[in-house]
Amino acid sequence: MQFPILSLMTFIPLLGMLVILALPKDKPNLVRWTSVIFTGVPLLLGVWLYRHFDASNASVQFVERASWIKAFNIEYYMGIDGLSIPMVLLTVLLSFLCVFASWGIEKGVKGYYAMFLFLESGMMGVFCALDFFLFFLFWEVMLLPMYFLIGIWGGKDKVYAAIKFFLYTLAGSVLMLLAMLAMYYYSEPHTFDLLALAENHKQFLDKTVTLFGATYALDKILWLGLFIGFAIKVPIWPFHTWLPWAHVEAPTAVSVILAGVLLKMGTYGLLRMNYPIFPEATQWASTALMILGVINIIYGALCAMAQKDLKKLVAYSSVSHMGYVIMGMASFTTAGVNGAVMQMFNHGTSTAMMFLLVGVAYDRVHHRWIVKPDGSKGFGGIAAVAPVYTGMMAIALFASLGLPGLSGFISEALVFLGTFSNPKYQSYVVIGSIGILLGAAYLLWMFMRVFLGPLNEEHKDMTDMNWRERLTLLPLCVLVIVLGVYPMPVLNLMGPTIAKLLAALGVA
Amino acid sequence: MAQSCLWIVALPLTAFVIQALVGKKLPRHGDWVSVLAILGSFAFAAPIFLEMIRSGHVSEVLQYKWMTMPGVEAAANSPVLNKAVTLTVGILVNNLTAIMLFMVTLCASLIHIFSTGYMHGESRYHLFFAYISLFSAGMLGLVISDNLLTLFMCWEVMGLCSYLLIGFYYQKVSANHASLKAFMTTRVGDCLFFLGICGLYVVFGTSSLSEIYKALQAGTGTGVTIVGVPALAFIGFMLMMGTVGKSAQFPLQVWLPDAMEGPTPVSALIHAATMVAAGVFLLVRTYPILEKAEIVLPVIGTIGALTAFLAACIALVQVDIKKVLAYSTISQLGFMVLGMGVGSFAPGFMHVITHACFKACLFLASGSVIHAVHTQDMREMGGLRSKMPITFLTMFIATLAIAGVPGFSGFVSKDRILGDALAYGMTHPGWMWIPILGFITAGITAFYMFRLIFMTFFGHARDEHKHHHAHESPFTMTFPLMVLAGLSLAVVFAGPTGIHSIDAKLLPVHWFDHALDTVKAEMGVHGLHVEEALEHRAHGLALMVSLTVAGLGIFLSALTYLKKVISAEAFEKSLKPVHTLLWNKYYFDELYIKVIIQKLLLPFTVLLAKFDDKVVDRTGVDGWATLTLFLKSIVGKFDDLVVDRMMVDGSGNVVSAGGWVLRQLQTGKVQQYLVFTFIVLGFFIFYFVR
Repeated sequence: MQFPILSLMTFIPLLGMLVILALPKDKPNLVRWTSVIFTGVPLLLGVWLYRHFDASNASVQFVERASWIKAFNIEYYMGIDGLSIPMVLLTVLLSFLCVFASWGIEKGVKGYYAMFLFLESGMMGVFCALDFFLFFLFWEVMLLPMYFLIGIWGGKDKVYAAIKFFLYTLAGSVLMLLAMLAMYYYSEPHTFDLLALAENHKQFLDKTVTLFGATYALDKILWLGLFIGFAIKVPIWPFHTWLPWAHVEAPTAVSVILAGVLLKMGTYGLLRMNYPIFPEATQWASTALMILGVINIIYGALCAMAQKDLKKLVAYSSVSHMGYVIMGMASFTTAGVNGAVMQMFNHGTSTAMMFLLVGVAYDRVHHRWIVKPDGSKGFGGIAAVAPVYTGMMAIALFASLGLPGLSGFISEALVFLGTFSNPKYQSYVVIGSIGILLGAAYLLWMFMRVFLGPLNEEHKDMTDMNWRERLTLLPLCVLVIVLGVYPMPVLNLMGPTIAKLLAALGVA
Repeated sequence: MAQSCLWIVALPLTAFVIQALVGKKLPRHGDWVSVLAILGSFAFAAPIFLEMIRSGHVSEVLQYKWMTMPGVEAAANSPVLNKAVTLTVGILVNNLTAIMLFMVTLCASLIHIFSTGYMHGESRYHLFFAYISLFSAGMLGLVISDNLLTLFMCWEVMGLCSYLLIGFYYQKVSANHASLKAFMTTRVGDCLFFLGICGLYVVFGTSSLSEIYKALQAGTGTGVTIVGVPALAFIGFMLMMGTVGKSAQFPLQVWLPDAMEGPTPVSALIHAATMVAAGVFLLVRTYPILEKAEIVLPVIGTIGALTAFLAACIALVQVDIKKVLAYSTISQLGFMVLGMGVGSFAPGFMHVITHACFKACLFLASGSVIHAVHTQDMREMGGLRSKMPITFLTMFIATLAIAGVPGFSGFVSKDRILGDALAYGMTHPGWMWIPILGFITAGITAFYMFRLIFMTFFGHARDEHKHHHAHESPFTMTFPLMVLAGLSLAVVFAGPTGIHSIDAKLLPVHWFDHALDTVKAEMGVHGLHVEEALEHRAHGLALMVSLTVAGLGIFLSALTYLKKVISAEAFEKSLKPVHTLLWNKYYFDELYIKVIIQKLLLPFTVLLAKFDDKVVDRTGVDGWATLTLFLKSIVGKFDDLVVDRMMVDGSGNVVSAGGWVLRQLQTGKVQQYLVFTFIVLGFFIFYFVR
């Protein structure tokens, strides 16, 4: 048996949680530095993983497999392929950075970091698990720390937001659970093994299931069950409304994780399960998926434009940007799907920057109003007092709006190129391109109102970013620029896996 | 050679990085880093240009892999298109590249030098140089790009720099609005341009220009459709829209005048000489595609002619010296686009180059004037000729060039464009109004440019105080002016007069025509094809007409603003509605900003956000919670009242209640029994009789 690197990366944070719980309450710095170590080690392991991952190999690697619950053929089955490794890397990187971003938290430091490490374990598990039961377990486990992180360390309406997030996601999980159980019972032999299910995807064909007296095709109903579970996470319109709430109320670092990693679990799930296990149903649903993608892009952008709260604006921009992922996935083309997965990664970095930067302002002035509810200016002209902050925001914002030379462009361009090359969807691209326009509009309009113009006297004492904040943002900044010029380091990882996925879709 | 192109781009890019990171700490805030970098680029560009002059032909393509995505060949009628995808980056050097590189590095170098004088003492001086270095890198990258994707990247980087530089004085609200407007307006064009690139990729499987040229010559692309339109026409229109945005053509011309909020060297570099010309350069680069997409060219010609005319009219009423130049830029870009539309490929491209030189000169000279008198309003100037002789002389030469006076560069290119346009109009009578608008515009141009010269440099000083303090600018500012004025002479591009029949005898070496002929053959450009006799006739006629209108324009201008024989005020009053229309720029801003954005888009977004909050979220999502709570209370009540109280306790109650009801009936009163009897009887009668 080889070195169990994935298990280590998954459970070291959990171990960290236990260590932190054992630490004395009155030493917050000790807790912080312990968290640095227990997120730093997975990051280092992630670097090792990146270097040793065989990018030319389309199948799963670093496999760990052991029987767990024999009676139900449930296994402890971990492994990663080109689809999961970008997400794994994103998770360990953002988790590490978020420890620093949370440095200013004073209330219940111990509990906060314990929950945070718990969350990281959950996220890692989701991206590594290859057994549906195990996947589901991690998926559900993750809700718990998230609920507490929002509900305890959040803002004004934290409880409402936390419950909303929890119940909404749970509702999706119920459907997923039902689909999972059905998949288990309809598969022969009964299994939760995702790869085996994908291998024998034909066994779900031509079967029907009767629900409330009506008869449905089995694969389509299962596809829908999984889809709704994942769609809530992405979030796909109209299941998106928990997102602005959760974002606005969550503390900065949690918003970063939420937008940077959690949203991607939805699209990851679709690509990991819906696509390979139900290729026929995926084809059946592809046009609908494309339409939803376009709705996400345009609807999210329009809503973002009307927002007065900075964080809500960024939250809706996430809805819009995840639309590109859906669009690329639904295009069924090499460039489109590669672009979609690339967009998952790139949105993770650029939106993380955005949320971190919003947090920087919030820490100083304790509000986030672009326009205050009474109609007066919330910010204005802070470029004069915080030039570095403004510069960083400019980079994040231009990456977000897809300026060529920064990472967002590459993925959006690939999505558009790919989708356009599918004759069925050309007109969708034409409509979707309005989203690019709107994206620039709301972001630059925000930039103008917040950073430019004469300085708002209320904020004349605002300080620029300190070194901790600068260093937190620097790695993301570098990634955004480097991947914008030369995206191959990430694109390279996913290529063969996506080729295999598409080939499996095509032979249906 | 292509290798040295990499240096041409890399040098300013490095300068940008240095300036952005440590510029503030360097001596002189690092302006020399940027200046040296662009001079270095010039030093690399010059040999390529000289090589082209010497041998008449440079051509090299260099390609690198950029992105690869593996795939397998899809089975027939599969819904999945999983072919492998490879995107390259590359350098395409041909004669067009060589000329552009030389022009851009030269103008940029001069403008950099000018800026060291003009921007002296500004706060954020180092950032200014960082931005113009990045801009230069972007423009030069665009010029050498073989791949439309990288061209697009550079195109957008320039857009970014334009945004940053227009908003350079970021505390000024008007500057911020202008920069936002510029970015958004050009982005409308950019989005469509990108769709065009997607289209090219779909049709040709590549976005590399050199490969597309080859494929076009082999006949690829005909018979394919995109969204129901012939593919090449779709692509052509989308590329055209890119140009319309970037080169400020009708109907996206609104951003350029506002862009004058930026420092004047920026106006010269970005909004006159290079970036706006990049739009036309895109047409030049993709000309073989446009030619194949037949319907597109006349539309381009129409847009150019309309833009040229409409913008020139606005320039007539402007009083801000930079705004006059801004509208003249739009108008001149219209000429270039017009030229491209009528198949006047070489003269159209030549106008890009000649315009870059004389317009940069005009802008820098205006900067020199503004620097001296601290105002942009021409009504406060006057009589500056004696105070600023070098500025006056160089600006006058550039004005002669733009007005189309023989012997100066503008004449050469404009006259040829108009000649070709006339020939086109004669062979396609339906499009005759393209040359007609062109000639009218030429006359108007001469008029308003001389108006500018007369108002600024002649007559008496209208503001004594400002006039008194005015002085000639330092050498770093006048030197670039002199060089650019020199480049505004016809002899640089053709013979000494620019009139072909005379030059053929005087100086028959025309490097420009020679270079363009070669590159046309290489790219597979046909250009305008008419009979030689007709062409001769058209060009002869065009020469006469353009000389007449230019002369007339200058003459009328002199009468009005120099001799004051004609009263401008009286004229203005008698044509009040026209003046108002022009003064308000045909109300385009009102339409776009006040109506489309403020009245339609923003209220709609607010409404949608409300819908999202109140309907989707509060009703659609929380509704489930409300429903659950409601059900909970119903079920709870049901459990309490129905199941427990009614059914359990009820069985007892029913008995006692029944007893109670019967007890009430047994009252012992006869009248009451009688009433009951009648009721029952009535009921029976009603029931049985019916």
